[in-house]
Amino acid sequence: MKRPRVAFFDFTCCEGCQLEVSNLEDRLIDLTKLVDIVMFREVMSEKDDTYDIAFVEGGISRETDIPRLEGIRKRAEILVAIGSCAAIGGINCIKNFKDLEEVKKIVYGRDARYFDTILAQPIDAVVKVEHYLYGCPMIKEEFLDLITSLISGKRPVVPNYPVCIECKLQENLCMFHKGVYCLGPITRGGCKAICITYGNSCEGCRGLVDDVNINSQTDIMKEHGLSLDDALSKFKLYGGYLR
Amino acid sequence: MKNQKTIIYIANRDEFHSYLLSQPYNIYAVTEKEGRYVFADVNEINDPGDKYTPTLLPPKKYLYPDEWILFRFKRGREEIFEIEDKEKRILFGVRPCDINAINLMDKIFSDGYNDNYYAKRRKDTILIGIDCFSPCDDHSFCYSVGHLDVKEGYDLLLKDIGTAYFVSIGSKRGRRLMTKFTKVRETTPHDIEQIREIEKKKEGMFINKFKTKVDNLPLLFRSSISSPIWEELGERDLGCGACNIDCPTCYCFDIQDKLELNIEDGRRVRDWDGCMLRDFTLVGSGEIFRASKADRLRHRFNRKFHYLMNVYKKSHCVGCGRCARDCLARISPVEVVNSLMV
Ligand code: SF4
Ligand code: SF4
Ligand code: SF4
Ligand code: SF4
Ligand code: SF4
Repeated sequence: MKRPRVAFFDFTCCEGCQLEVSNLEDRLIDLTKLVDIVMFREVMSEKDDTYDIAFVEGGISRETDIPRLEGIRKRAEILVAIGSCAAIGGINCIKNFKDLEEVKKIVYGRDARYFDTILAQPIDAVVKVEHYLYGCPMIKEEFLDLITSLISGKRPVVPNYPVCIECKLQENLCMFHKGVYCLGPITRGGCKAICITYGNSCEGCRGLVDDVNINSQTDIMKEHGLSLDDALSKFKLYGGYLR
Repeated sequence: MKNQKTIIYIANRDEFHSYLLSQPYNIYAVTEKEGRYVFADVNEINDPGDKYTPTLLPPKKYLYPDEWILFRFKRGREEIFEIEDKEKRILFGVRPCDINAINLMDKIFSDGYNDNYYAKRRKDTILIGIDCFSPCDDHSFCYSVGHLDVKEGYDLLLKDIGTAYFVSIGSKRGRRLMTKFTKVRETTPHDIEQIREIEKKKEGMFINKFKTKVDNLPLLFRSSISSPIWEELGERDLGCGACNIDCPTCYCFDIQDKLELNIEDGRRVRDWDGCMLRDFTLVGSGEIFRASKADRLRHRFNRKFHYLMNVYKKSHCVGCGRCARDCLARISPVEVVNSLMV
């Protein structure tokens, strides 16, 4: 792929993933030597509707999102879901466990009737997605690795091991040994177990790793004092769409 | 004395520490972390002595590190650019289990094919061991697998008797290190008596935790290929791979070529891998040879107690207990061996 034209789009999200791209700082200049950024609302005002790679942030949560996403899909050769919301559904899906009318009232109050809302979903529930950059937010290094891989014709590497691997590599004391639950054993690694390294549990923002043992994870959480309901609600923070 | 090795009595522990710290090496020693221990770069040596429990990661992290950049290259060109690694290091406080694990790795990385990357780091690393007089905790079973006694591999082996160390010399460079240290004296018959006494006390402290002798394990595992135990353990197993990362004798790795942003310069990286992970046996065609957790567990334990044991005549688990200590599903080699015995 030679000097691809690249565009960024956002749906329901906090735009934190795009912020990660703008946070590349000096490397952003190097990046522009490799790709043409034709659309990136967060950092530029130009707009252009021809692009090769579309990076899509955010989840689908309104009827009108669907045709817009389909349009992007049609124009892009490669569609990349960036961040938890787009890649796995993420936080937005918490609302799926409540009545949608009630959800609207909580968010918009008296103006609720002016807004439409549908069940929140990741973008691959609507269109085909070629690549995923997981995380809340996505990880800059993985973003750059994806770009260099696409341009050089190499298959991008997405970690398929749980967070525990990187947690052990950091020599953290396991959260469970401190009496705290952690979703590390079932969550896709690649983040270098950053939350645990800085004193928090893994909340599962990178989604489930392939081939997890949810039963065993639930048993272990129960052994450490969480009820089944508590355990399930922990899974729901980011993984609501999966269950 | 045993092994005919010179034993030198060191008058003072602290003096020996200061001497080591003044030497032209980077010193990595056992340090506390959140109530457990790790090997870390230190400015002073504060070994926990008999409070020691095996470090979160074994010292393999210095001999074949994760994210190890082997060399750099330029895309489309045949040249490679070796990475200069001038570090000379001392690992201080390595316990018998871990020294024996390093001995096993020395064989693995030189048998048939000589891994020059490993060999270089190994050559640049001085091992100063500390002997154990009692089991470090309930998870350990070094004695049961024949890895409490350490006969080689170290440069110096210390017996910590509080204010002083007894030192056995295990190599030429160990001897060189000691001859430059002037504040030592040869052992007297009295010292030798003291050492005998310690050794005697130690004998009663360790027991065989297996219901069989270690030499029987290859046969036991061979005849347990279709045991229902594997499925049962597979149900519990998280497939998290923590036991591989923690294990001083797990050495499997993955190699990746990574490109810098100019897509010209690249680096070849060697990362730790583990047989408990699903993608470990994923091949180009998309097949996975050991798709179930039960298969992977069976493989892992067979590596430790059967396949490699047949080749090298030694248990490839050194009984440090790290995997058991940190397995959230409480899967431990002792439990596995004993449940296969029934
Ligand atoms: S703290 Fe979490 S990620 Fe780390 S080892 Fe424990 S369960 Fe795994
Ligand atoms: S530790 Fe867990 S919650 Fe934190 S970044 Fe990694 S995957 Fe996300
Ligand atoms: S045996 Fe324990 S540590 Fe190893 S992969 Fe299974 S759950 Fe993880
Ligand atoms: S298998 Fe477990 S007990 Fe044996 S050497 Fe490895 S980590 Fe230690
Ligand atoms: S496992 Fe054995 S050799 Fe290793 S630290 Fe414990 S007592 Fe010492």
